[in-house]
Amino acid sequence: MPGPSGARRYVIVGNSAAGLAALRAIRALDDAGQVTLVAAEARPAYSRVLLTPFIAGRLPEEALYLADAGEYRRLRAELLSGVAAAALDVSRREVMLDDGRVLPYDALLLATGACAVFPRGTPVGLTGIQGLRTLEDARAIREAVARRRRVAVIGAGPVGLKLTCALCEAGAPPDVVVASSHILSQVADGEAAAIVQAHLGRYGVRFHLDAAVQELVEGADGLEALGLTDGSGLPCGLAVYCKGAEPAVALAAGQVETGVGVRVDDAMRTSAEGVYTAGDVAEVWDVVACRRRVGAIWPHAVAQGRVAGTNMAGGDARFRGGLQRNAADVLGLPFVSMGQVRVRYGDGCDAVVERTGRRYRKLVLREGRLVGAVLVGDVSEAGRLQAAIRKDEARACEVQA
Amino acid sequence: MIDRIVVSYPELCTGCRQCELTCSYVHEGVYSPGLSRIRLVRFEGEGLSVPVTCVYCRRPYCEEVCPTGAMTHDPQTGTAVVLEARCIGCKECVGACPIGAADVPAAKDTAIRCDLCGGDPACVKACPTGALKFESIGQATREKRRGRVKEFALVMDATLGREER
Amino acid sequence: MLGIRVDESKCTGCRLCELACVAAHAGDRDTAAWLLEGIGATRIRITAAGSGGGPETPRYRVAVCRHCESPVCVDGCVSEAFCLDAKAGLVDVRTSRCVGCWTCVMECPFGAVELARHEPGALPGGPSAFKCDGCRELGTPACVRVCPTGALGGGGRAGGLAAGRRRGRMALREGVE
Repeated sequence: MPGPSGARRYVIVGNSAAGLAALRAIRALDDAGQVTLVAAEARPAYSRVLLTPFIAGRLPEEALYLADAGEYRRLRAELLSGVAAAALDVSRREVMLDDGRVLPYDALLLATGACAVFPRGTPVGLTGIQGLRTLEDARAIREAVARRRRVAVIGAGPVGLKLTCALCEAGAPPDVVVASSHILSQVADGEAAAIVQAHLGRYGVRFHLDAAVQELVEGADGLEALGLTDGSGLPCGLAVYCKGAEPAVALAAGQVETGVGVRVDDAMRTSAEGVYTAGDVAEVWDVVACRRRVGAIWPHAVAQGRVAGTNMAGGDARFRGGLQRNAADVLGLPFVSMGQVRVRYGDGCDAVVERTGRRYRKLVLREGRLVGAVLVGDVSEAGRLQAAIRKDEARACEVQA
Repeated sequence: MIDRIVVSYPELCTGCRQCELTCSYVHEGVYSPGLSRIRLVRFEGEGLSVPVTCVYCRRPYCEEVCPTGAMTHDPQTGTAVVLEARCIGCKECVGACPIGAADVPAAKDTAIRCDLCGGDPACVKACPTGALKFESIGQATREKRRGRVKEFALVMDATLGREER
Repeated sequence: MLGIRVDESKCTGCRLCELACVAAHAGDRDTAAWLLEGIGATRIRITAAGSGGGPETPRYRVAVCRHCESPVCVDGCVSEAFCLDAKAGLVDVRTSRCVGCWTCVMECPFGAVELARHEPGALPGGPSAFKCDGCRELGTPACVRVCPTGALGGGGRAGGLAAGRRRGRMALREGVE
């Protein structure tokens, strides 16, 4: 039901990539509607991906922000800063905030993002244990480096890799604890991973493969050392867990259909009328896996936010489908991974591999169609490969679905 | 596959733009020639107007050059489809089309192409002079050939001094 | 609007466009010296396409920015270095914001973006993105001016409509005498 003035009421929960993109898309179509943005963090939207260059010392804090207070004013968005949404009632079309306020909506966007995941039993509240999602997390890491506390990176996926590079740039090459037999186990094969690992090793990074944290040793100053499952120990003042992020579905649970994340169609609509989702909390169709997946990467969040905002304001936009992909500059060595990168015996896929020195190129094909690629050293064809993956595989998905 | 397309007869076109207004209304909900899939090319000096729209090439360059697969066709019916979710507005199709039938209008950030309105083209119905026909190219060609033969016959009769038959 | 229309089938691989691009971006430098030193700084790149395909398959790939209207590079840019100037019809890169993450290279279906170390105005440390800037001051982009075969034409939209006019004139000649 429109507000007293007849103008549409939009509520956006979440003030990062997806929420900001949605706000801009709404205002591009609807000048009159009332937009309220609920931001759990008391600051304007900033780029989470820029936290690692910030840790590296390459960027000042101001450079992390994507919008300033002026832009929220120009876009006439009511920014509720430092407030969390506590509950949702889709039948009454209301969002309840943790300070007791109730926000009725005509169109709602859940852009609540994700939270760092910790292995079971990790004493999350302990000083010296943290994840890397927020500006607070990044500041704590910078402070630890400044105070010469030894930092360990737990997990060597894309985020762990970027943090490792940043710590090297900051002059504090870390220990990296890796559960699998090679780094980047979800996004690269062993050979590509070995090239990256060897490169980082030259900068003083120490890798502990097939290992997990078993024991945390505290001293007078806080965390002092880690005991690993392989029997070894390492001095450590700060352990940063980069073990993935879990979609923050608490607000949506019980109100809209959820799987791992909040389920949406390609217009970013949830199962409840007027409720949309975008970003790290959304579960969207993956064009290579041919199923719904959470694809928590920046390009997805921006595109999905824009599609959701456009549709909330009465436009008609569609999201082109998710594709897992990551790019990184590993201390001067470029790395890109897309789609399905691992081939298992009997899964009907082939791999074509070329390697010269540190240049590595792997293409994965399923029934003659490109479904994935890993590039190290020379990534200049990455964009063309992504286009080829999408062009072929989207059609194959339509047949399969 | 595609049998009938919108064929234009420029000699009957008055440049009234009903086709452009109807097409843009049907597809975009507004009256805006810039958003129409059929466009008039007007020669004001000669007082002539030529409608241009997709002629459904057997080998569509617009689809070949599209980097994302947005410019495509329905595999069953053959009618053109622009998958807007995949279109990045790169305008490769605009450059590739030899007759200028594909466009990325200024008011849109994705491409447009005639989709024959599901088999009942609105522009054809809207045209007040019959300058647009929804017909099979084979039909048009037969008629054109017949027309040419008749013209030729008249010329021959005149040349040979025969009376008109 | 600015922008470049590309017809890869007409490209002969002569690379005059690369030279013109470098020359056009010489700035305050001596053009000849810059050409001798700076060919790596071209924002348009011609590469061989590979031998597959029939006789009509393009032999060369033209990697240059198409200044898309719904640009994937802008969506993917984690620092908003890439931005769309809708009025000018161009996609710009604000070099000072680029952190060299390679996401734009991963997104662009034309391979139009390259990352280079020591790009002027860039942050110290990493590489930063550079690509076609549409030659705003020139009106017609430098590469378009020199292309001898018409593989590069000016004006993405105008090009297509001009073809429509050609058809119109043909129809004129044919049907309406």
